[in-house]
Amino acid sequence: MEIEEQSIEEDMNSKKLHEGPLYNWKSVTDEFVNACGTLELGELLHDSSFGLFEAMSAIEMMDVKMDAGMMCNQIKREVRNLQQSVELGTVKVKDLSHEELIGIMDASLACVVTWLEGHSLAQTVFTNLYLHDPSLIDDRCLKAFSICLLKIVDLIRDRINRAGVFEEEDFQPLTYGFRMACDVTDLRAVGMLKEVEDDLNRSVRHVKGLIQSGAGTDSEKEYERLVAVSVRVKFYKLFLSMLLALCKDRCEGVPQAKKLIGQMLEVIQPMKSSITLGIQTEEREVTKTDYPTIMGFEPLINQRLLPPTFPRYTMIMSRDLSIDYIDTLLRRLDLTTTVLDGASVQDVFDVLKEFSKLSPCVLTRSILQLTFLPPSRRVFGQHILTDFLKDSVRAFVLPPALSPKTPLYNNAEVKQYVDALMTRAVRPICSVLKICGHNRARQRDKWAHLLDEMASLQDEADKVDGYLHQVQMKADPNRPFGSSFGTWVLYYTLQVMIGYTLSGFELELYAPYEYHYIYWYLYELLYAWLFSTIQRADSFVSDHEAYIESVSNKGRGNKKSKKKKRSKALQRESNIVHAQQNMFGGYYKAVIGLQLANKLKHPNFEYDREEVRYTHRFAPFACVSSPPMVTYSQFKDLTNLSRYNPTPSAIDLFTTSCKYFLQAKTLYESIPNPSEEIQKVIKIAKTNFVMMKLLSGGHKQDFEAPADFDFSLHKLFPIIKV
Amino acid sequence: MPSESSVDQKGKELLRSWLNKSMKIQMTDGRTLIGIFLCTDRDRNVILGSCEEYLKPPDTSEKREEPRILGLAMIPGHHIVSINIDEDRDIQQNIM
Repeated sequence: MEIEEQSIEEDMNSKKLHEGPLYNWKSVTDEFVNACGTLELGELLHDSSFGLFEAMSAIEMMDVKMDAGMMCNQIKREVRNLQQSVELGTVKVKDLSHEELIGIMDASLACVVTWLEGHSLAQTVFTNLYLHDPSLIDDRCLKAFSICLLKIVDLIRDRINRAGVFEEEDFQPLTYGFRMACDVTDLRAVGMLKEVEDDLNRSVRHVKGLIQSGAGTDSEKEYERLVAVSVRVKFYKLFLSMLLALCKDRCEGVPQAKKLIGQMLEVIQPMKSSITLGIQTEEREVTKTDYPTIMGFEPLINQRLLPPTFPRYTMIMSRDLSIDYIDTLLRRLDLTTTVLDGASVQDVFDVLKEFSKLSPCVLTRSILQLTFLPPSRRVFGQHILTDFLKDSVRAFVLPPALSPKTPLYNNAEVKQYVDALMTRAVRPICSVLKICGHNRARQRDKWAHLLDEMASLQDEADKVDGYLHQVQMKADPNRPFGSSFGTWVLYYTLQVMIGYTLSGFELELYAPYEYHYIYWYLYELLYAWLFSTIQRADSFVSDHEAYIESVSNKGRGNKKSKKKKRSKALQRESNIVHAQQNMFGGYYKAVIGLQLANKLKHPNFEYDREEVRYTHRFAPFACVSSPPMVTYSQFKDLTNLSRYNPTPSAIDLFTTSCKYFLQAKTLYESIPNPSEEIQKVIKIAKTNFVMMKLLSGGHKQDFEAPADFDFSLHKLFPIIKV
Repeated sequence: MPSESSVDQKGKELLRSWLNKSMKIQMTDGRTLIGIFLCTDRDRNVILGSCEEYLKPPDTSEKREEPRILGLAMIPGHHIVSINIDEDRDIQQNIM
């Protein structure tokens, strides 16, 4: 009884001390142990509402992988927050030396970069104690820097969140309730840095004067350090201003941002060469969770903010590498500004596709997406989406319904139909563009998923085409209305299907014994359709332009130059597509030849069925009606070699393959100003051409080593090695 | 045999009476966990629901520390140092 009274008294006391649930604890350790002993082996004692299934999802305490809290206790040293550290004097908030400032700024940048690579904010940027409360800092430079860095982090987070093209492996959006210096305006933050920069520059000039008047090496060293600090302050000032410029909703800040990026790139080199001037980490034991840091950084400060099970091992990037990373990031950001030159969906799609091939980081991807479509949902912050789509359709197929000077254009009902179709197209077309912004590995699934929507859009477009055809026939029976809208949608459907199929190579999903049907599908179906779609679109445009010219006064209007420009871009694309088709044709014939020559390993699994693999690979295409899905039996029929008379031998196939590669090479070489990628592919086509030539001449005929496909030069086009 | 099984029954009854009550477990590394007792077995592995983790025993430290929310947690029997159960206050008042 006494004990109980005491415990109640304690309860009362604790009630005064702190709020929260009050317990009436009673030690039952021994009873519990004894009672557990009475259970059978494997018997679980639980309530009816709790079962083995629920038990499985519990995290296991004291397990290295599951129990994050375990780590805190294994660290011998004490983890202190900013306030405590300042009181103890372990972290300085005033009179920091230049070495310290350089070190802190560089280490912070390394943290930001690590965060951008997908780590949690708590384990990266906020291991910097200064950022927890910049108001405690007296040093002007450090204070301005800390506030500015918080702003930068907040802006980056905002951009990435708004663009919505990240996955959990790209980016951790959680902020854990850290304050991002909201009490200081953006303008003030930039101003603070500017003031500090001016002061530093004054000191730089002063010291320079001292050196010129013959001061010792000490001054020279001081000069170096002063310059290093001032360059960094300038860099962060530019970084913040650049992000602010990019955040403008009407994209009017992009040219300014481009200028700022150029200025930032200029200070990268001086920053990199002065990294060694900053304070470096002290010697301390490196463990899986704890690593040595410089003053002001505490890797474990936020350990308790993390969810119970969390990857606890965050490797902060080295300062050197993080500067290189920023350098690449800036160059890519510079590239993203080119999207503004795009006049149609087609142009934007090309820019996004090319950009994605660089496997850019999540920030650049997000900014590119937002430059194209800011939160206002207007293209480049200015054009209405449906208008932009109409312009794109006009540029691609020039349908009479969208072209002034035709009877259809002024028909109210026609306009209604076309408008409805464009409104309907906004979502799928925007999805096509948005998927290009996701990371490469995620795109495959998203392409597959989108095909459903593309198929129903195709349906609508075909219906509108049908209706317009009827209207046109009534108005002018001599001029049929082509399937303009259908062709336009088909182009994107095919792009999506090709994107899906090709991503399998990049992700290394296909085994060499699968190549024959993949190459066949690409060569015989997807690229063949794409090529003819582009041709058809081109003929629509030229037909219609000829018609308009014949209607309006002849000889007037110098639109020829404009037309030429258009057809140049189109010619380039159609050449590339044709060349790609020939490449895949070459690979297809080569693979079949290698199979016949026993130079390709075929698996010999039990229960192996090619049909299952084939169906699985092309399953997403089933929902698309044009182009129709080729089933496995159809594929088998179409590719049966006995259809030919005489049945081709391996040598024949190598000869055909040889021709295809040659044709591809010729087509690629006809493209003016070839990009680096095209030059690479020309080289690959040439190498493969030579290989096939050799094989068709009987080279290594008796040699039964399996052929090798070397993707090291290009992700899609391998070099065949025998 | 029958006497043993009645002991067994008593043990199980006791454990059963503790189900869904608050439990405080101290672990070998000094941390304290407080949560709802949900499940146990012969090796006295315990599963606590809505579990909170304290670095120091919450009653002894002068300043109440912010607990960390763990959710559903399983504590292996050999890491358990002591177990406390939250006694029903009403019953206790009756006793008094």
